Amino acid sequence: MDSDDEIEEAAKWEGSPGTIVLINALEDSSTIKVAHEATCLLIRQYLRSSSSHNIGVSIYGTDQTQTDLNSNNIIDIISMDTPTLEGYKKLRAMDIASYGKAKEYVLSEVLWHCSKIFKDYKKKLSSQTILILTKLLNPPVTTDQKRTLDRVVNLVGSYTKITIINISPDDYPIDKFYKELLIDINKSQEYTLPQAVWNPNVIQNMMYQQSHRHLAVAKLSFEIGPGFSIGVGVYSLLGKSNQSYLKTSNIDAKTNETVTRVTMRSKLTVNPGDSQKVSDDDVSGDSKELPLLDSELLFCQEYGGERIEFTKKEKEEMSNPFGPPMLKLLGFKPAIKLCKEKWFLKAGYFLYPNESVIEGSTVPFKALHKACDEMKTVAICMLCSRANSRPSIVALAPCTRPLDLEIEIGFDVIHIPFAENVREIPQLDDESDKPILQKKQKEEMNKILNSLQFHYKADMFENPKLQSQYRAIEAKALQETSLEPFVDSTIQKPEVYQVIREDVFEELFGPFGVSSIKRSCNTDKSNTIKKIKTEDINESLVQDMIINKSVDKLTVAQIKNILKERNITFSKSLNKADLCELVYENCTS
Amino acid sequence: MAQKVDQATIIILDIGKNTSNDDKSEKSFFENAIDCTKRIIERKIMSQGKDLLGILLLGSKKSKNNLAEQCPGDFKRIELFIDLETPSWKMIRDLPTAPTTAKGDWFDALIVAADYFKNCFSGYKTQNRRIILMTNFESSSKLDESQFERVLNGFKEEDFQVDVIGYDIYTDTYKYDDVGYIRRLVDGTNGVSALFDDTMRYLVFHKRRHINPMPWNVDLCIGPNIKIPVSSYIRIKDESVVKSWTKAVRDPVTGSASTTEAASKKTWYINPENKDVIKSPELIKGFHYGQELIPFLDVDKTLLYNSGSKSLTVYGFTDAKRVQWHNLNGDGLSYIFGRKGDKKAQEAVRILVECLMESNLVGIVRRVYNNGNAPRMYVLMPVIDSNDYVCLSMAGICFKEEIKYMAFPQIEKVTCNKEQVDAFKDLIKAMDLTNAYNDDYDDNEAFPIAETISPSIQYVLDCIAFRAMNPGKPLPPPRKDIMMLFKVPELIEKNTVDIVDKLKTLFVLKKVEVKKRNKQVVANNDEMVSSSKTDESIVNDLPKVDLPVSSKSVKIKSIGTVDPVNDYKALKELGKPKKDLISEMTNAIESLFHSNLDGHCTKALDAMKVLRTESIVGDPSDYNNWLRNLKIELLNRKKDDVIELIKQKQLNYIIKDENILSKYDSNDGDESQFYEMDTAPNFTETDISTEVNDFFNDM
Repeated sequence: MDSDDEIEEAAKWEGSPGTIVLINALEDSSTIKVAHEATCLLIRQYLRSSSSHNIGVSIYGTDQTQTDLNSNNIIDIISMDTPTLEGYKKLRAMDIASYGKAKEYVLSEVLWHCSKIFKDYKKKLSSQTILILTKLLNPPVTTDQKRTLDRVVNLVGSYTKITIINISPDDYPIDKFYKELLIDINKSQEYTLPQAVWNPNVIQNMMYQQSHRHLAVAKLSFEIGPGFSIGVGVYSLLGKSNQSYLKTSNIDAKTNETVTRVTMRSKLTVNPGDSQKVSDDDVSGDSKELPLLDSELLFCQEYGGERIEFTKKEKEEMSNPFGPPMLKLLGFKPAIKLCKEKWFLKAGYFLYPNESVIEGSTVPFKALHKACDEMKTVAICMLCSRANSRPSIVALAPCTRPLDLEIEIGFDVIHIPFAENVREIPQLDDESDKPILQKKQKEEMNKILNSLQFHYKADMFENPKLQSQYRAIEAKALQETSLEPFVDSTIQKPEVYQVIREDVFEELFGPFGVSSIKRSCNTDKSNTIKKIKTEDINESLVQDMIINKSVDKLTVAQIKNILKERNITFSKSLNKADLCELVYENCTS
Repeated sequence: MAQKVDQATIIILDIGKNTSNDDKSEKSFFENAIDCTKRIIERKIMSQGKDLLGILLLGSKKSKNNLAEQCPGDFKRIELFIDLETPSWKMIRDLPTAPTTAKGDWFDALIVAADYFKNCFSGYKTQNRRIILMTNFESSSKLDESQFERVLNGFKEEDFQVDVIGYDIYTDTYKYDDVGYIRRLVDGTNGVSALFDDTMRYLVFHKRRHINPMPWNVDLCIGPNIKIPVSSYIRIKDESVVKSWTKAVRDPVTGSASTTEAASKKTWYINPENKDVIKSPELIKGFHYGQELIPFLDVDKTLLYNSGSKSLTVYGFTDAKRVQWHNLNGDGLSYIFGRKGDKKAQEAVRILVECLMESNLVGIVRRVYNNGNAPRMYVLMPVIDSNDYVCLSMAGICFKEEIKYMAFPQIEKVTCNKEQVDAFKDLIKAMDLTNAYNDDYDDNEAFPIAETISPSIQYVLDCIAFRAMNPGKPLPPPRKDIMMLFKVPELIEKNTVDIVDKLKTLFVLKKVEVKKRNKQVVANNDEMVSSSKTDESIVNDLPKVDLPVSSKSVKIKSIGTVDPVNDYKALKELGKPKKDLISEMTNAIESLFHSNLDGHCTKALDAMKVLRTESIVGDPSDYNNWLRNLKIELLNRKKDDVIELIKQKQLNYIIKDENILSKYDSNDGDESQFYEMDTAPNFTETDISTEVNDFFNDM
């Protein structure tokens, strides 16, 4: 109940996505280099996130052939599987040019190759994607063109998504064969020609975007009025801020095996009257233990001096008694009412039309978007994204290209705070007397603002802690000595601040009261005793401490451990000083 | 030291004869007063504030109070019913259930209350002392002007607040002189007065749990040498409704928490290879990298990031438009002020706010919450709040790693016409929530931001309050007051009917039928499903021990004879190749036929039916070939009845009409086709037993 987490992975999903990256070996060496680099980055990205995606990398149009399947002029560098370190190392080390160039350009062969890979693949795939990294200048030989188009129609017919990434430093006229190909790829529907890209990082993002699995938080019908609903998907464009850490597992230090975590609830017999003392995780040694059934478990809250009890089922039902997941329009408000500087509650969602719930939803979605945008209004709705999530009131604000992504339109779903979410601000000092120097101060402040101006972009700050962890792990995993240099993007370059005239600022605004930070830092260093870690405690240290009479530097739990190790019984009610005494009396060896 | 309390309240509850009502059709003053008192106590309990509450009964049968003891004969019929204490459910349960036949003096009761505050209430410190008087003034007081003046001055001096609930003291036509006095007293002590209905409406929702604001103090750094001392207070936060739940074991006899047993939770780690329990220090952390695990101990610690000490450092300033709603990530919003007591710092922050506003900029800052914590980036936005707070507001922005780089299907070329857009514009005008009610309301805005009450929070608190007073009873559905919170205002609903009708004609929408999975299973075998359901509930009830062994044993590996139909489906779902499935299925069916335990071969025939239906859709030859062999086998074993059953159940060969790939034109005289089959090379005259030959000859 307290955590209203909408964990996306909770959705039932079979298999994981399968992606094959194809690099055209017939292109010039610089194009191949860019494609190679971007593919390396993509694989690294998947390694870092330890995802369960299945990825294969193949080069086509080579003179040589290296594949398990009966295909020609194809090198399988990484055969389709979840990305591995070996595969990554192999990919990075390889020299594509060394495999030579085929005499003629045959595209149908590699597409047939891909469909064989998908067909024979042993694991269940939730989706099939082919990413082709090439220039769109030279078409395959004439005899192959018809066959290529047939293959594409077959692949698209078997739900394979084909994406062509146009690698080139500049724009050029795309060959008409590829336009035909794109029509078939998009099932004769409208499409746009792929833009030329050259930056490996951008290409990596594009490939990631095309191959990554993105689940909707919810697919809902959006009730605009009685009997009038459209289909929408609710998405999270951002991962949770508190979850952007590297995945870790507990392992056995001896074997480096992952260990299985087993959690069991049990009931213990306790002395009547003593029951209050037994907390959730505390287990006293001598009581009888029995497995606890869910139906025997009660959840309690203390209010008004009494314990109020609920069964597990009741507790779950309390979280949402308002019916199934839905999105319902309540009305509209002017967009200016919604100030993010006042009402930001938590990361929002993103709304996009969804044809799989209600066909034809895109047209009204666009019309609503346009109407809201032109009238500068936001739609106020009630949203309940999951059966067990708390319903909330949200505003739908029209937006275009969120986070600079290639998403044409959509709505930001903004959580509106309830009265319960607002905290009071304490009484502040009276600011009645207006200062006189204001004009000069403002001038100086504006100078500072101007000198520190920059263009913010959504992807400009990398999480430095995560990035350094990646590098540390890669140093170990890849046995690398030359590491990719680490730049902390969260810290501004010092020269930027040089223009600030600190003395003038001090004169106009200062002096400020003693800063609390400095004080706490100073006291920190001199007064606080560094805590001794439990793993550092050993026999000799304990003996030293006994001699120095400094056992009190340990925590109570640590002291109790020392006593337990020596089988010395002690009453639970002893305080720290008593415990130390016990150690001094009994533990000298 | 005296304990600090936010508020101390004494309710003077009139339960005298004057509060009863002869007319039973209407709620009496007594009933109203009790309901209102209950609601006040309940709200105080649920808000978990540091409040104290006491109750004085006016018109009680007993005379029990400090002053009555000191001056026997005076201050009669006033009972100190509950001392000032933390509000509890017991108070509600103990409230009187019927009015008495006595009458008391309300003015005396006020004096008793004031005396209690002054002389009996020690050990606590509070600024806020209130006396709530609930009476209908139908029992008049003996007070005189000089006495009143003295009391009024005393109350003012002590800073008591007197409120009156249940009587309109501001009507001009009051029946009793007493009302004039009480009006002066309420006005003189800055008290309030309200009728029961209004009070109950005001108290309809629970109050938020009280949280004392705590500042996060830091220096706002601009460059290496400018450090402005600031304090940051949390302003908006999505908090849990209740504190964390404690767990208890249910006593099977009483149904409530057991006093002899406690719930405990144990976690241990097992090496899946040798089933050893691993404990610290053998238990270490490892980082996932692809499918590999890199032990944390092996990682070079010098490469790990050091965030530095607690700080708030300006990275730079950017155009306010560049930070949109979707850039924000994190938990809530804080307001930043210059440090309390530091005039210079407050002034600097104020000027920064003004300059940011004038040039339409926002600041981007790097924040380290505490020494060594991972840094996060925040945006600092200037804000002038409705409460006249001039400050910076701080919200988290995303890191690059958090962007999910989603791809969506292109919709660029889908267009909508002007008529469609205009229809939505009409809808927007009709559904303007800033003008949602008729003019007689002061405030016409519906769903005001940050003033709307959360229905789910209210419901949870309602449930707790309900269960406290009604243990063992099932929880009620949400109150009407709560359900109203999610309703479109009536006026708006009326306005939109025509526009929605028009919208319906402008767009072509088709609901996609959602196919429900596993439905077939339900239709096939009701008995089986019901039994599996009970299994499920039993399984769900078991403690969740995720031993790898147990989960494996449940998995179906091949089709057995116990439940071939479901095994088949389960394996098909798991993606087992069709060839294997068919051979396993046919094996199972054959063993069922040959053992024939139930005499009717129901299970085998059901399984055949499934296999046949599946084969009609796919390649029929496997089924047909197998069936041919089966029939021969059955004939060999003299099981003609079974062959007849197969025929009866229409499970014979799949014919051309059903699937074009079939080699059988019809099932009539099918056996004669044996000889024409060219697809069965191993099927020759010599393989056929004489019995079969006889069988055919007889035909």
